[in-house]
Amino acid sequence: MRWTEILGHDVIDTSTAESVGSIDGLVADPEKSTIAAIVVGAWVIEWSDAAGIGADALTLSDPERLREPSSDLELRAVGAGDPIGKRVLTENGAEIGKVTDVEVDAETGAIRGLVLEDDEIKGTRLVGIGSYAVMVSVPGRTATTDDDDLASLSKAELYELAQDRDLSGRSSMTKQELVDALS
Amino acid sequence: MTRLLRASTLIGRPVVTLQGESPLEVKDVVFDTNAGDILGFTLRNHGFLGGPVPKDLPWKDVHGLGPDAVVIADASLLTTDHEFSAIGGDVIGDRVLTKGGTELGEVVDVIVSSGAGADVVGFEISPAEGFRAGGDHNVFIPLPDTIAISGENIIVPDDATDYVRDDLTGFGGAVDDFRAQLGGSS
Repeated sequence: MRWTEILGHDVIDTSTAESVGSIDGLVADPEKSTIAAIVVGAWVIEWSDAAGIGADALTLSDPERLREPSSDLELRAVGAGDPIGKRVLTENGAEIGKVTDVEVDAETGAIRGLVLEDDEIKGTRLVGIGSYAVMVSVPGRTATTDDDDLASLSKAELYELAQDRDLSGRSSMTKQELVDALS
Repeated sequence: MTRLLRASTLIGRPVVTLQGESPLEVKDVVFDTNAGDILGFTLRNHGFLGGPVPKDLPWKDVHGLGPDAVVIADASLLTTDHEFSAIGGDVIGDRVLTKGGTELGEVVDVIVSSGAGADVVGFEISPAEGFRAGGDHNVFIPLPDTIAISGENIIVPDDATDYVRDDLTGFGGAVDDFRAQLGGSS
């Protein structure tokens, strides 16, 4: 499921059939690479407390589950706003694009990937979503990245690596060819 | 992925936390005039009218230094507790001399490596008349890990002149070669 498919949708309390707000943002837990909660106005609801995330609305069976943000992560997320359109910075201080979408597992809320303008990077690289930028790790640098290092890079990052190594034929390579040539 | 940057280009660059917030931006780069290293950054609020704030960022707390941001672990690292003023200053305009006493030129900018952490790797200098026939354009000279510096004069090994480059492209390789040669001969 893509995040933009549900962003802005109504949040409806099924006990009264009333709309209590809209999906305005997400609370990402970078350590688990999941969406811990959904931001509804100045409130949050945990992903697991939503009764249903349908094509047209998020339904709530218990409006009590909609609560004030309490943890640091939740408070920051309410202030930071939605990640869509934000610049993506690596922990090394390089901008690699802007977030156009987030690939989410509808069941668990796991963030599978961050979609950039013309590329996608793995969700496990997410470090933080703030009001200024979405921060991502540089594979091989942080201990938390246990993925195949090269495969989790964007094509632009792979190309830069190929430049550093002076790899011939790099400009005509596909993303997979770059991964193969660099490994 | 090491890229070399002119220290002057860091001015105005946003300081961004790993949480994605950018509380401040770089106001100025502070050099250690006793060692030739960068001590850290003084900071200001964002924007053209951003006033200075009484906070600074020590070089050792820089998590990542890149073309688009100075990354730090979190905002609590920005404090006023650092003794920048005691040894801090500017090396721009200092005279660069070889150990043998040849004047090479005047420091125009400081070259740092980017990526994880950061390191001062060389100077951009405006060449003196006797060096490389003077000339209109600046050249890049690599530095060893430690140099002698007095506040006005900076002393580099004689061999450093063999690794001078005319542009930043390829200068990274010259720095590596120069340092490898120093390490091998000592």
